[in-house]
Amino acid sequence: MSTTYSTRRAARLAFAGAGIALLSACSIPQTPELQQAEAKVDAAAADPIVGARAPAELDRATEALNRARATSDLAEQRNISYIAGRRAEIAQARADERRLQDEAGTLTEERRTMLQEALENRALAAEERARLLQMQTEALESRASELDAQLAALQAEKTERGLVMTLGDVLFQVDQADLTPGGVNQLSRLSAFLRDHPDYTAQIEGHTDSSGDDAYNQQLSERRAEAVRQALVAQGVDPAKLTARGLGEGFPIAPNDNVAGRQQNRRVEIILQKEGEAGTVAS
Amino acid sequence: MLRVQRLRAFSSSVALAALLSACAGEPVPQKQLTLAEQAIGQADEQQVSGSAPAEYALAREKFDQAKQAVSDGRNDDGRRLAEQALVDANLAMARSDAEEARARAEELRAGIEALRDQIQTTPLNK
Repeated sequence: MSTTYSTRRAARLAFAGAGIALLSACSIPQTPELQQAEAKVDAAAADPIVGARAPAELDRATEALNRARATSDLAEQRNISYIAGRRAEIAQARADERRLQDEAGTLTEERRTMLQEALENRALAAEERARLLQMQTEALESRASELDAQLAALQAEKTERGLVMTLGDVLFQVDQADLTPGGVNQLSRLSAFLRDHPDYTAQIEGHTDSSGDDAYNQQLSERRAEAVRQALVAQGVDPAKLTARGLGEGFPIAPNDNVAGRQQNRRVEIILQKEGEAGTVAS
Repeated sequence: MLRVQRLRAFSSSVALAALLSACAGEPVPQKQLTLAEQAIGQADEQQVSGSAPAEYALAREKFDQAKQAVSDGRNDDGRRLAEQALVDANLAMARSDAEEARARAEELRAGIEALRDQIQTTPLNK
């Protein structure tokens, strides 16, 4: 009986000793891994970006850390600490990712706004250009109508040779090459036009009726054409824009068998041509 | 008195048994191995080896070690290694995603700078 008792006692002591040894192993150790995990989780928790953008991930890290703290097994504590630390890093990475995604969204929006503004500015510029073009067109149109008015004042006729202005016989002294005051007056409108429009040239042609000597008529037509040329130069027209020639009696515009017809034939024609738009020149 | 002592002895042995069973051999950590393998497969699909090479390599290494430990009969080591391989793979993906987001934001920023320059230097009538 006593032997049994002492054996039991020894066994009990052995049990108790083993138990204490095991319990001491379980009494919440502090491995360096746990300390590292605590540092990582604390850092993540202290980062407001992580708290705002990866709260679920942070919770998982904290949960693992609490488990590691409560674990008495050293190997297991190291393991769970590692997991807690990694989860803290995951929370940080996810928070970063989400912040950058939001940033990308903002940037995309910014880009869209910039493009839209640029397009609007371009549209405004295009409108402005169109307005300017319209003004230029109107100016050109008004110049063109001004030109028409001036040409009408010159009593120039549009013919296939160009714009033809005719100085009648009455604008010259009888049988002379000298212009009358009325002729000079009519030429002053022509010289003003030629000064205003340097892109026009004038071809001056003298004509006579068929009465009298051919050679005399030829000479008279030349002198009258030249007189007109000189009068225009005297009124400030560039001589380079002017040509003068006499065509004698060869180009009547009316029958020579009556007084009225002959008077019409005695004339100087001035053919106005815009440079680069040469009409067919009579030969 | 004897009964009390017996009871004490019994409760000590129960506690001991419980503690021993906690430390004793574990079953094969099939679930942990599967999870780790899935995560690594996902990381492969995401091609994270370029953007988070260290984390990815660690995950693979630990997964291989986990399989080795299990085949050596060290199931507890195998489970821990598989658990760590899982978080390593998850971290590799998270860092890779963050890197991608960073690159995208950088690209957008550069694009906006270029656009701004273009808008400022290009005459409006173009």
